[in-house]
Amino acid sequence: MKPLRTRYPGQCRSCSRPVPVGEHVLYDVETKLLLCAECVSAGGPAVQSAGARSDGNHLALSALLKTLRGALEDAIPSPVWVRAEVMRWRPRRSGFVNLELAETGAEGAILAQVQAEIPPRERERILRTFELETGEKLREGLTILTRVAPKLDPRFGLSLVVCDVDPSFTLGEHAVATRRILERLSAEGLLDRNRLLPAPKDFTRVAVLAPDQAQGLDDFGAEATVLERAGLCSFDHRPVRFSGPSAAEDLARAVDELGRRHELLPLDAIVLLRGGGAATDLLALNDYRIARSICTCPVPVFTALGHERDQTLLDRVANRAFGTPSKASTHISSTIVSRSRDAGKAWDDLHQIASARLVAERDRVDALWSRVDAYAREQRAHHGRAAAEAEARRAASERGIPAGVALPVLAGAVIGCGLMLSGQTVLALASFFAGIIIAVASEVRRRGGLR
Amino acid sequence: MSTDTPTPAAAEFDRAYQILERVAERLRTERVPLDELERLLEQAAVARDACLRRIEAVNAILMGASPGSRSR
Repeated sequence: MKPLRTRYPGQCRSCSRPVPVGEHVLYDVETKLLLCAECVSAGGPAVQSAGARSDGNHLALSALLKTLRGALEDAIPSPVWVRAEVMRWRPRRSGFVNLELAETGAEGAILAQVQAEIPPRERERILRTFELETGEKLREGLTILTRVAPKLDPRFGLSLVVCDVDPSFTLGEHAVATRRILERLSAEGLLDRNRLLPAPKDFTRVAVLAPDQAQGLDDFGAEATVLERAGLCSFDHRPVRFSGPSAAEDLARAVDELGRRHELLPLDAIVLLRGGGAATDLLALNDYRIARSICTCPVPVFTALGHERDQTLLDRVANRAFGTPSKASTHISSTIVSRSRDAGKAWDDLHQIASARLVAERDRVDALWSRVDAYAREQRAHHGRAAAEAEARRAASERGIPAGVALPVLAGAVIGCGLMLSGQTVLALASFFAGIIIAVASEVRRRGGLR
Repeated sequence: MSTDTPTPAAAEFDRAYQILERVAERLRTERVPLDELERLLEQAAVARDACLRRIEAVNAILMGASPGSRSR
């Protein structure tokens, strides 16, 4: 027999009274007949035949509940799988874990709610398996697929006994949540923004966001310290929580702040670092706020969250995901070394080219100077020749009788001799003297006049 | 630093080199008086020294620099 509220009109099998819709009745699943509320409360023969014991004219509450329990066990003889959200979670000293399971609608309204418990004998197995498989503890707010057996206790009412929890379902739920966040970021045009930032070709300043005392910090720090001591790269560690209810918000705020500071003090990369330990908190980082902060960050963000096997949402949106902190530090170190080698080779090339150029320039200046020198020698030689010729002319003129002197004297002498032979002695003397006077005048003029 | 605009030192080198070129060309094509020749040679010598000084300065930088320092 099963207690229910009628959804269709019927007829009581005991008193034959028509039963309207909405009346509480006992329903026989096998015979599909019902007992009306009046017959149940009167404890008639039909009720007694259903297994309840009457106490005078009343049906004892325990009898009713036991009847209901029987009906319940008949209806659900073995545990069934149920999808529900964990609304409340209370481990007890007795070993039980009390749960409150619920089903919520699209608007978050509770459609159904029931108490449940994990018995002590199953507690360790269920909780450990769930944590190992999903990487997080069973907690409030998770949607789980659980195998439950309904239990109706006359004293404590209806509850469910949890026999098992399917971890793969919860993982699937996270995958769905992650997919939704990725779709939202994609629709906003942010999804690949950080991933497509140019990868740093060198590192001189890196910000590290990691929990204090994180195991991965030691792995990362070993190499980082060497780089820092060598003056090659500085690392700015900022402690930030990766677990707890405010982890995503804190982390998002820290990334935003570093992004703003980058405008004033440029960073080459931001490393989100969380190495080793349980993967418990990683799923909590599947959060839109932190994913968005990474996407919009102007600095390339590296993730080193300590779990290579499973890619988290943050790995998907980051500029680069390294899996482990030591891999991230190795990348930074090898990039710096590689860059230094490149710089060394470039310097050698530059030195060689510059030296050759300087030699060429010196040769060019020397060649030009040689030309100037050669032309100058030629000019000096020309001037020397001209001076020599002038000197030679002057010397020659000093050694011989100039034509201006000889010709007048000679002409005067010839004319004078002719006149002398013809007996004209006076004219002959005049001719001699005229020749002499003309010769003297010519010589005086040649020498530049009287001094 | 832009490579399009020469530095003052580089411009000085270019000027000195051009002076050398002009003197060479004038001496090649023109017979200059002795005193002008003397003036031109003095001018060319100063230009040559300027060129060589600049070359030596660059060489000193090249020899003295090394790719070891990292700073931002």
